[in-house]
Amino acid sequence: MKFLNHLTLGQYVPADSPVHRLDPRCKILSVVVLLAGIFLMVHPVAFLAWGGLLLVLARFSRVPFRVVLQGARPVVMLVIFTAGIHLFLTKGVVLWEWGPVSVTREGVTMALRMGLRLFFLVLFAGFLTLTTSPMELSDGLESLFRPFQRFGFPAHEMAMMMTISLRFIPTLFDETDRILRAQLARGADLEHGGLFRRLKAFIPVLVPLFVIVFQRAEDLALAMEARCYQGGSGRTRMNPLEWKKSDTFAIAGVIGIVAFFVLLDLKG
Amino acid sequence: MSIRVDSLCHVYHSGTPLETQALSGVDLLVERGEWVAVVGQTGSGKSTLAQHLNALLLPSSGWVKVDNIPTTAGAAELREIRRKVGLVFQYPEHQLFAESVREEMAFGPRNWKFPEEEIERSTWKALDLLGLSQDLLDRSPLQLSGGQKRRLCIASVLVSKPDYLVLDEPTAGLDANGRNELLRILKKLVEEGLGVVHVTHDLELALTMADRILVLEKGKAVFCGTPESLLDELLERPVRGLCLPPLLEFVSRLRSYGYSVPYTLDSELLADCLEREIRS
Repeated sequence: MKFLNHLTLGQYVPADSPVHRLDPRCKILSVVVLLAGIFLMVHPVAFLAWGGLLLVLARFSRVPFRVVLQGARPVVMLVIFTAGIHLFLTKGVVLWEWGPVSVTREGVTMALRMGLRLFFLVLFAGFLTLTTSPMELSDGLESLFRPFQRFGFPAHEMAMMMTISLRFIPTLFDETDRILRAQLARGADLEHGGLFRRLKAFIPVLVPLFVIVFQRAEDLALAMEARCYQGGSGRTRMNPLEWKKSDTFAIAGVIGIVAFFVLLDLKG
Repeated sequence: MSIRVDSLCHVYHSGTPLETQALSGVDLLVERGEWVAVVGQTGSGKSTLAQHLNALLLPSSGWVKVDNIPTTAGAAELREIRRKVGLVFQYPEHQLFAESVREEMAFGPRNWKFPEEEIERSTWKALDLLGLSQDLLDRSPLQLSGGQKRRLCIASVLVSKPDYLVLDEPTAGLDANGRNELLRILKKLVEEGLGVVHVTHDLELALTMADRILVLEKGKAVFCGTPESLLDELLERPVRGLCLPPLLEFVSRLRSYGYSVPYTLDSELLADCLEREIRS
């Protein structure tokens, strides 16, 4: 029996590919550009091009396409819900009617646009975490946010917090799985009954989980303290980030492609 | 009336690159009123086996039958199997969630729809068996001491009146007192007719407490029999996956020097024999 065995959101797939080798800062900025581009899309048809781009990226990064798609699984419900709302609640030329429910042409366009937009946002954002290890990611963010430090923004602390939380996600999943099994062994029934009963059935899992989370946080704080951790000032790094020519090319390429897509889309 | 495990195999993550064979062809029989120890190193498949006994994991092949009902039977039978075979996980303190000891104890029986009066009676009995005072009933489980928490967890499983109790490293992290106390309680439960499966990496504990011992190594059963026969076996040749307890090392050394002392973990018997040897 598998309980919590299928989660790839934010899971790093190690590989030696051109995309993996890029500087994390380059990848973060590229994703920002890509996401901005997706937000500017108006025509649902334009997403065909984005799909193509996704395929090319998957090819370059040697991440199996199946894994890339799995990243969107957690938001499928959200996508369907959003699309559904737009489908039924947009006013315009009525295509189909049944009692109080009606579907309009504008509704169909809106539903497709919103649904696809969300879907592609998640897929492209997922690419970043699929090809960048959590360490690199937080290093990259720290470096990108460093200019804001002079305004009092705690770049290092934020990056450290992020690293730690990412690091603990798998641990907490294991922990949850263990508690789940322990309560199942005491006859807990998580699969039957209405929504409310099922939510209530999770209390015996959530309470111990919270206890463990706090305990772990305290232990970790102590362990860091014991090694004289004192924040970012004067800290050097083992693998300094290095911006290479290929990074410049990559980001220029991404900006070029996105600009091209947007222009094409605006023209219709 | 017994738990029967027959040529049990279990494969984790079947069909993925992470595929691992955790158990291959394990047989085991656990009768009521019997203490069976499952010994092996980390990763030998002990915990996987333990979770098969109450259908938390299902066999990839082979079968597990509890009182002749296979664990692969329908949902209703499965719930009954989970009640019959109580499972206490490693560090069970992490499962405590309720506001009071009373509520914690009632969790299992309520899931199995015990009537309220019976829950109360059963709670008293289980707390008493585990040597926990009834004054604790309204305390928060999180306020108890480490040893008390451990015993509360076991009580919270016993309260559902299982016929078998599977414990995964029940003595891990307990001090010597807590450990001995727990072992004494388990011994008493076995005498009262409970079937106990004790999963441990501590060979000495298994040799001194169990009626029968199953030794696992890399998912395979390398030995199954009484402690006496395991000692005989160890005397002949090392058993894969087992490290000798210091006392047995000591006895082997003595025997290799020519002292005729019995190959045993009974320190009193050993001291007597050694004294006789030295005097003669």
